[in-house]
Amino acid sequence: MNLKIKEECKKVFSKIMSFPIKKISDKSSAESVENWDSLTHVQLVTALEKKFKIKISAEEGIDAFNNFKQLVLFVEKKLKK
Amino acid sequence: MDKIAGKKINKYKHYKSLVRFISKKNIFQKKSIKKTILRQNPKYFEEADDIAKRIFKVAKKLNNKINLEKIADIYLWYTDLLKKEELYFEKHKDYRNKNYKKVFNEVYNRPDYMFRYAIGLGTSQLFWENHLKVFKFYKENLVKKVKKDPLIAEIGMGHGLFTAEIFRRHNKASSIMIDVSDMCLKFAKEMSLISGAKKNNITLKKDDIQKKISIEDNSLDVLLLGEVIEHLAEGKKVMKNLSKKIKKNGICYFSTPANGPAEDHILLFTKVNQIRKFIKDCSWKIIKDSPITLGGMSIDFAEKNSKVINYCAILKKA
Repeated sequence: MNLKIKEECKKVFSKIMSFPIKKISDKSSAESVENWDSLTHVQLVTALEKKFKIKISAEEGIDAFNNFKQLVLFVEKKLKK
Repeated sequence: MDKIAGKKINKYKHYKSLVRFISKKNIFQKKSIKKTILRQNPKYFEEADDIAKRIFKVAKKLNNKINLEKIADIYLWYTDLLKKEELYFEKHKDYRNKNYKKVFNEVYNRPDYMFRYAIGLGTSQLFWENHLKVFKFYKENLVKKVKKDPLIAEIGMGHGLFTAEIFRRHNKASSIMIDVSDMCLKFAKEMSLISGAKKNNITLKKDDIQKKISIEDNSLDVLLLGEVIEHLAEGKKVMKNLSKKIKKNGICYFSTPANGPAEDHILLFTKVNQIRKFIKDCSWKIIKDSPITLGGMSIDFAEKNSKVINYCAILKKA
């Protein structure tokens, strides 16, 4: 996992979810992060697109990641394309 | 399911099963439904259980293979559909579809799709904060004020729960049900029958109201126009024509969203005053209205940030 990308993802995630950066782990998911719901998920997807200048389709936006580790891997994959 | 939430719903059989199936399969829905459950009182659970039971019975009548787990799956399919549209809207600040014919072919003209649509939308009526508030507004400001044995018409039947709510109180009411989808007409008819309506008092009309409206002028006591206008390419023309169908003292229930994306929404409103102006321009007057936002958000904030506002109103002809 690219650490620089991971740190940037943490910043975006923390801001959208109002969740402390220090508490974010690979396993952070909607189960453990109180504010991660369907509304903030939409905001998260849009914020990741803006931050990394990537395009995320509606289908990908729904299914691509369920925890923070998957989120970072997804962004990495998008940046390689 | 959380222990406290589980305890609150334990005796409501249909509702409880639906909640359990949905919660097992989708974490976002699990969290959101839990919040709803913790906020509600026993009266809500009784009504919600009754709605869940009626949706299940109607669905089962139209498709023998349906069970409550399948209803949960259909609801999750419906929420995924909406999520895709929300993602599109968040990026583009516009609805994806602009063409009624395309929507008709892709959505309304597909019976199996409309069957799932009616179930998904009907089930959302149990759990979503905004849908619960809209239904409460409807019951308090229209259903309670309906006089004995009215002639009612509903345009765009969907699941049919709104007309059915009148039949629960007035089983001798007469109803004209209008929709472009045969499936929604069937679904709504069964929903009313199961809610106390008599077969002979229901008339089904498969009309595209942009072309014709099979209702006599000045004939209606009650017109239900919930979540319809945003589906139309010619909303203004339809709204004006409908004002001719209602009696002088007749009442109309109207609702439409601002910033409320769905695959079959065409007409975009972004501000509450834009909706109010639209109503007044179409020969209606607003008796009472209520713009509803999510999570107690202010109308101003919702408008500035393109967040959904569910506008509902009671109208009379101007």
